[in-house]
Amino acid sequence: MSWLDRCLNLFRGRKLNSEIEEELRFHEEARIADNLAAGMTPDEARRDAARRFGGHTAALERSRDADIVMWMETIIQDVRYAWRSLRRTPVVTAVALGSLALAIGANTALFSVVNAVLLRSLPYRDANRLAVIWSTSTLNGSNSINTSVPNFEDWKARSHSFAELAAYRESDGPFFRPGNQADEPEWIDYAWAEDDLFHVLGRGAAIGRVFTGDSREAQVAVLSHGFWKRRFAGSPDVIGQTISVGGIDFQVIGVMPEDFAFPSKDIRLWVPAAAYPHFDQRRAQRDAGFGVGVGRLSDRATIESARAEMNVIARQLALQYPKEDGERGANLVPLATLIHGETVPYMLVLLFAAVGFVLLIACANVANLLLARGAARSGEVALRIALGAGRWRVARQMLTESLFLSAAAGALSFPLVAWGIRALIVLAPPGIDRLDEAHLDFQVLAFSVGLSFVTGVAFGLAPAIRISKPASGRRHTGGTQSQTMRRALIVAEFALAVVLLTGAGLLLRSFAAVQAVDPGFARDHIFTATLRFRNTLPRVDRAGLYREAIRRVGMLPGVSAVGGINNIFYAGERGNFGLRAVEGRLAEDRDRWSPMAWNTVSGDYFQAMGLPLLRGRLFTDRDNPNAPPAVIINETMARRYWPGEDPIGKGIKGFDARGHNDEWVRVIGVVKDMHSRGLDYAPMAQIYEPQAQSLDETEDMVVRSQTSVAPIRDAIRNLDKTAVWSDVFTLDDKLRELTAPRRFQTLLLSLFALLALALAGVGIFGMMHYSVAQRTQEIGIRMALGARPQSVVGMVVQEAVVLAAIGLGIGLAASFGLSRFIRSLLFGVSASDPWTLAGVAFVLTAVALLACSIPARRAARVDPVLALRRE
Amino acid sequence: MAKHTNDRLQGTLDLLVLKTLASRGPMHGYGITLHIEKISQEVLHLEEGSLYPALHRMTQEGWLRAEWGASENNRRARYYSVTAAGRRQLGEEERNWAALTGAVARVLEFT
Repeated sequence: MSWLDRCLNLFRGRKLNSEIEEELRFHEEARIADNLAAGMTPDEARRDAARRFGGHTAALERSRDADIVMWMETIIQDVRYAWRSLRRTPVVTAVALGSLALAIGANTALFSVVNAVLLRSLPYRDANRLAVIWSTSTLNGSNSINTSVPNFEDWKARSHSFAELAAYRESDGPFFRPGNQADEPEWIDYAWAEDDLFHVLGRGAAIGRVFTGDSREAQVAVLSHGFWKRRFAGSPDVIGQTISVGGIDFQVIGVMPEDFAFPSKDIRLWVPAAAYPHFDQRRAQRDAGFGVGVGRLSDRATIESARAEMNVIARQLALQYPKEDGERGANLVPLATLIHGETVPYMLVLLFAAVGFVLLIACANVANLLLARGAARSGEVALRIALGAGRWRVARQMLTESLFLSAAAGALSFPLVAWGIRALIVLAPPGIDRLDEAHLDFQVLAFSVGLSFVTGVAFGLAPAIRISKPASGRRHTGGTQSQTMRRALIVAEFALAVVLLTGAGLLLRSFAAVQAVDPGFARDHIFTATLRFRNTLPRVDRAGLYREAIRRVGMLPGVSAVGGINNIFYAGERGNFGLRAVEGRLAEDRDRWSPMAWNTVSGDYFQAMGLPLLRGRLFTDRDNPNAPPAVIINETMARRYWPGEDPIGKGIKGFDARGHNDEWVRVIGVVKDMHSRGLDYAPMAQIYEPQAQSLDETEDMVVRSQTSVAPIRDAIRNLDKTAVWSDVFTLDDKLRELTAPRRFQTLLLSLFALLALALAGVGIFGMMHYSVAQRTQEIGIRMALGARPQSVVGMVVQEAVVLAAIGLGIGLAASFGLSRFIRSLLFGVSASDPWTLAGVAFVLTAVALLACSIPARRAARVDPVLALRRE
Repeated sequence: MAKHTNDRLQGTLDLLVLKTLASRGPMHGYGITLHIEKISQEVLHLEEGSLYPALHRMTQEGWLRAEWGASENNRRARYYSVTAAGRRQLGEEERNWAALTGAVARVLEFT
């Protein structure tokens, strides 16, 4: 009978049963017929037949079993045997199960996040054929700037790499429903779509419809699913309603599906670029950046070929329009790169690798356990082999045992996974797209099952091979060989733990160093908020409103200082910038450019932030539009341009003209540096100009106050009903947000390292425990011959310490090799930080000593008489 | 399979069934019972029910082939015949049997 037949037997039990029934009935009836022919009475004939046959049902059962269970029989036997033998050592089994479940659970939870964020394809048609195109600036090295409308149209006309090409522009502005008086205005992020964006992405609306590239249909909007749920309570009546976005009225024509979040989940709605104010003028402004191109590669094109073509086109445009495009290039990247960014995949892969190490340690632990048990059982195995059990059968037995363990651990890990995913989502830094879509789904389940199986084979294979090797004749077969293998596993565990510990240690030191950085500003009782006024108002009016808002808030009781700035914090790296001119100097070489910000401030910004003035004066009301343009600079700026000189009174020019006639902008004061890019970036050069002389808004309001925010909110509401006051945070919160990714990585890596350390400790404990148990006799003889308990303890401890030391050496070498992967995360420590390395060595030795202290004490208490009698 | 070589009783039943089918050609279970009874002059008393698990097991091992056919009185019956593997197994069982009986005989002679 073929395997297929056997498997089929399982499903055709009923038919099989009736076939066997028929066969047996035939036998019985034939016997009865023969008995009748031999002269028995019908009753006698029947009874004789039944007697000869034995239990009818039993035979049926047994025949059927022979068919179906035969091939499963041995497996079930193996599993039962595995269960029995594991139950005999409940503590060891529980520890093995626990550590495996933890490791598998942590891996699976992290996988679900990696899968949701990185691996799953993006929710667009053939998403891997989509690419985005930015302009670049050879001027300051920034490679993701919006391209102008005419440039985009030239890209589109000249390129052949794309089947379709569209563009989008991200904006933010006030949103409200004109028909609804009670509606709170809200500041939202939204996107303008140039050409047929939805078609390029290959997505349609969930409700209603999307707009196409047709410019005749301009005043329409498509909402994101989440925004529709939140602001319109998920009502289908939304279609046809009028909304106001950025001061323009649109009619809602559709709602996108839940998973549509282009280019990010912060985007609340999409409107056609044709509705952009003065879009027709934009078509003629080659130097005004507008949006980002997004294209679907044609069948013949690849990312590389398209990139090459775009570079050629950018060069043609640079030659053709040297004034506007002379320093512009094109940067084409796959859409996935835009969505995922660079830091998130890096972070996730790093953590995934770390948690993989933990799993390896857990595997090594269990392999060790099985090897040790195998060694203890070598007598039994030798007996079984001698009795004719095949080696393959014995090896399979061992494998079944390990698979049984890993399957049980996999099952146990499920609650852990569900909990772990939730914990990861809560702990993760903000801004990871699609993270909240991580959950226990079929793929995650499949990963977990696969992982359990692979681990089962991985840690079961060594003992299985080991134990099924031909016995060498002595009863304690291959003891030394299996000892070597177990020692190697312990060393490997320690080495892996060292790598994780070193990584975690370096990150912890970096984190502490970051926390210890003085942000440069006061942190107590200061909060920030974003204040925006209708952007349909003329600039001058808005500037007036900001002034008035600051004045009114400043008068509230408990408020000691209020100010505004266009942007308090910048996230991470910025492009390099410089000045157009510095008084009395030659033009600046672009190679010397560095991160720099030209800010606009209003009110008492420096007082509110607690940024002390070091030289000169602060702004006053006299620094008005008619006065000579004035700026305050920070220390970094002063050092960069006027090292060893007094910068007060020096003149500079930025790239935009200031004053009535492009006059020199004079430095009137120097303030202390602050870490505006987050604590782990050095302060950058900053220039502050008064709003009265600037064109910029000061949206970020800073209030130093002992009171709650409610009266401030009311004061602003009374000033302008349509003002949007949002994102109220304390400065501490803001700083914490900037360090959130670092906190997350450090926390998780430390957790994994601790887990690894604990598992390695358990590993060496188990190893020494078995080792002492096996050497009881030897120890007994030694003690009978006069060895003192101390020397016995020393013997055990020495073994453990030697193993730990070898592991430490290998681990440190490995972490040194791997340190380049986390070098970019380090702050204030070098990859070979002696304190970290010494700490790791200390912790590891301590754990090894602690783990072997119990076995060592047991060894010292061995009674020579009892030990010798054992034989 | 190796484990049956040690199991003398089962081995005996296998040997008898294989031998019967090898010499007499395809038979149904009842026919095998009658044949074994007749040849052994009713010395080997076989619980007839236990024959069937053995038949199914040997079919599983690939030693026997089972087919439905018509019996002498035209009823549907399951006919068993020996496969090539079955013949090899028969040879082995016969050798084992000879070895065992030889050994037992020598033991008996010696005492």
